[in-house]
Amino acid sequence: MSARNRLLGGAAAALFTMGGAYMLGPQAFAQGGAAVVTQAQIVAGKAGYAGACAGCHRANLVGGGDAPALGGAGFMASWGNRSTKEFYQFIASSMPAGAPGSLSEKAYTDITAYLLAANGAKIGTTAFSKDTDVRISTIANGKMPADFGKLTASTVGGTTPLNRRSDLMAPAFRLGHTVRGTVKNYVDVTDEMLRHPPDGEWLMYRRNYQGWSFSPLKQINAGNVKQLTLKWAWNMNEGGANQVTPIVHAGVIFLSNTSNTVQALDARTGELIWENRLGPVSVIAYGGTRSLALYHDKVYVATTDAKIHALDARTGKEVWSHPLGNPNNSNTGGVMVMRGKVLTGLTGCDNYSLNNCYISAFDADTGKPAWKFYTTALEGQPGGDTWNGLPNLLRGGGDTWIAGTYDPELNTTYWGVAQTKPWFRASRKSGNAATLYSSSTLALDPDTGKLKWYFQHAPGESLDLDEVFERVLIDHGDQKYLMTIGKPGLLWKLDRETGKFLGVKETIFQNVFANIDHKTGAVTYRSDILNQKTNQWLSSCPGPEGGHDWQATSYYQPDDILIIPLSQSCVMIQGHDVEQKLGGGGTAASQKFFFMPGTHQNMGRLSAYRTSDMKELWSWQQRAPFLSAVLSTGGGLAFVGDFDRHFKAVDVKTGKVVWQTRLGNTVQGYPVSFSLDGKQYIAVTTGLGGGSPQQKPTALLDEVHRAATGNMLYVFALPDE
Amino acid sequence: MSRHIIVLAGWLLAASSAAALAQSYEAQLDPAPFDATTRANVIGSVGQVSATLNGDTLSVTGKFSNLTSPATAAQLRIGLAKGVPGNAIGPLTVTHGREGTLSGSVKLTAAQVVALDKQSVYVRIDSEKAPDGNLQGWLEPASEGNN
Repeated sequence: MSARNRLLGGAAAALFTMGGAYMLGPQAFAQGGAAVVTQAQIVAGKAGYAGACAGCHRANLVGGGDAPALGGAGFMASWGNRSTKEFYQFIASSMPAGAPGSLSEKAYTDITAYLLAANGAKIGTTAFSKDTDVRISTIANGKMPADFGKLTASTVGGTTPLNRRSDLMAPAFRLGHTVRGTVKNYVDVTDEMLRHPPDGEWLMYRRNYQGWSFSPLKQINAGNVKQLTLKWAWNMNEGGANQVTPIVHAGVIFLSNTSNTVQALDARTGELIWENRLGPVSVIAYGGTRSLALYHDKVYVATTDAKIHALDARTGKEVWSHPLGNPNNSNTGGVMVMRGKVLTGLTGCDNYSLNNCYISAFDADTGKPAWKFYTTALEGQPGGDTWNGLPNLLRGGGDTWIAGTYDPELNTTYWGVAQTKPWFRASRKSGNAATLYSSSTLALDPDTGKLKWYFQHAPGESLDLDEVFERVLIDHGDQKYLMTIGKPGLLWKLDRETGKFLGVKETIFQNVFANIDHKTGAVTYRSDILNQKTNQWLSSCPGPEGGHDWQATSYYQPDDILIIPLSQSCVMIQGHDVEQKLGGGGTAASQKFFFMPGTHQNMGRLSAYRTSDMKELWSWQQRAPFLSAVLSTGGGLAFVGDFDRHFKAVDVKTGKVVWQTRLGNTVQGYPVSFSLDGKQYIAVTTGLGGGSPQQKPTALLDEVHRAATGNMLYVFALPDE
Repeated sequence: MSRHIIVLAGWLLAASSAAALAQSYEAQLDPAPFDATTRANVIGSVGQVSATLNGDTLSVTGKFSNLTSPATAAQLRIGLAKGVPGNAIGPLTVTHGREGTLSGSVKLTAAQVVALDKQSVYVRIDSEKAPDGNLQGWLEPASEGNN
């Protein structure tokens, strides 16, 4: 099924949710100016929007994540002074995310017409076309007409819009427990196995509780890596964002697919044993389910519709499930199991909501909720006075979209928290307040959810520069460190017993912070960022691609080397005014992209640091950014893949590329290593979909051409003797 | 004869001192910030500039190519930091074509020399389709461009 058909295939389901379109005060069509759209166009455009756009921009047009608002004050601030022609060109050349230009001209004109009408443009007899060229503020006011839902529900002339004709749509993607085999020889995963993973297995997100992404297997090394051979491959679900970690246990790969599909594959042969398509079908082009977890006889998945499910690891049958949040929420970071509890974060906290954002824990056996920790400190609670007096409703963001790590000895779990929403301080009206616990490291008791300590890396963050990524736990003798790196590219070292700041290192060029206090870790934003206003363009180097993003580091423990995938791009970013009411908010910003100065248009950088003294050991850059995490192995190799489909092995000590191959699409996800019958394997996924790490190189790297499909799993090994 | 030798020696001394004081800079010119509606106007264009600071005068030379519309103007500009756009501080002469050269000299204030040292000074070329910036590049010490 093509990406386009997948998107269109989701139209019916998404249409059902369209009733609650954003309401900024019902109004009649009161606009001046010409009528530039027809009713037939907005009916078709509504369906097209539901299938191709609503997954990211939301059915009610309020936006979310990297997708800006397409209705209301935010839309008018961004587009009011620009022309309908520019708006059409923007949509037709860059949307849908992940598959730009994949719709027909008619689909694009219909969607554009629908959006203009949803913002108050008159409906008439003149059809909107790609050449319609009027200033948007002269025909629209950002206010949805009172009878808009009725108008767009009409059928026109007894015809069915092209994109709803069943004969032109791909077969329905059947949900449910679709393949019902049984894993033979399954062995329950114990706490001891989680604390000390068997060498040949990959039981959790970053392989060990410490978040190293290091496999001790050493059969594949710099001397023989050139002989690596593809053993088998597996087509994964298309649509959505494929950013997964294959989990390996008992000779089986447990694989999370888009559309919240979980599969068990024979790791030797690639044979499918069982499959459970939990659904719903993915219509969101970003936010993949990054990791499953195993514990005892169950496999756990937190899904993009904000539910947590426990499946029987032997059969795939659902044992229990529990909602995580409200319908706007999502989960992409995956889950971690510790001390009999399943812990997971929450995302999709962009829009103002009554339930705010939190980390939650569930009993692994029963699914009974155990605790919640609110990542936006609430009124009257510790940290609650750091929001410039904003009420709980207006405390957006604080998403946790990367699973945490765990120190069993300290019985402490460590999580990163994303930024406040809306992104701009001026949009959210938080002044220069810190807005805890955004952009922080949290140390929590996994039994109770009680906060042990926090460290805020970027108080009052304002440019979509997350500090949410992996917390890597490293010991040097008796010293217990936590290291992390966020989108600004600052590598942080904390004492993980106390949260005390120990050091910070700039890994790439940044112009966001005018000063970094290397004694305290306090950062001072550039003056124009501190004095920002809405609708003002600000430069951000790096931009929302990072620096560092979800493509995780690897800690090569034998030589104390942290290998970091970095990206080099910048943006001009502009925050918008938002409606400060339930359902309002959002990320509320527009962006323009540019290459990072001084990089000669090289977007990718791979760097290695010795963690004891944070000295850079080696670093090199290349045109394409890295879209996979790094995997290091006992063979002295680090595996990493890039946007332009190259999968590479580098010598961890020198950074020299010692092997590479080219896969079917962008190498995206978390490569892993495992062994079976004495043979070491390397598994890696390719994938489309994603936020800034996909969007920026898609726009900036004109010469990179990718297929519209290509979510796959590849498994490599040395040749059989 | 001896007078000529003294003059020549003095000139050589002055020239070598100036050379010693002169500082060299360079920048690659990259496409200016764009979104989906303006991308086609700037993507793929490229250029290089080098600059020399003699005393308080910054002299710039460079070349550019692959513009999708003819260049119309070029300036030396200054922002709050490297990568941050800002105001023009002096015009440069540029070929009015899709490829060509640019050059010019701008006398800097003391504050602008400090900004140059902080890599906050940049070159911008405008074009017919991108009148607010088609190419841009921040000046860096000559040896630091390719980090």
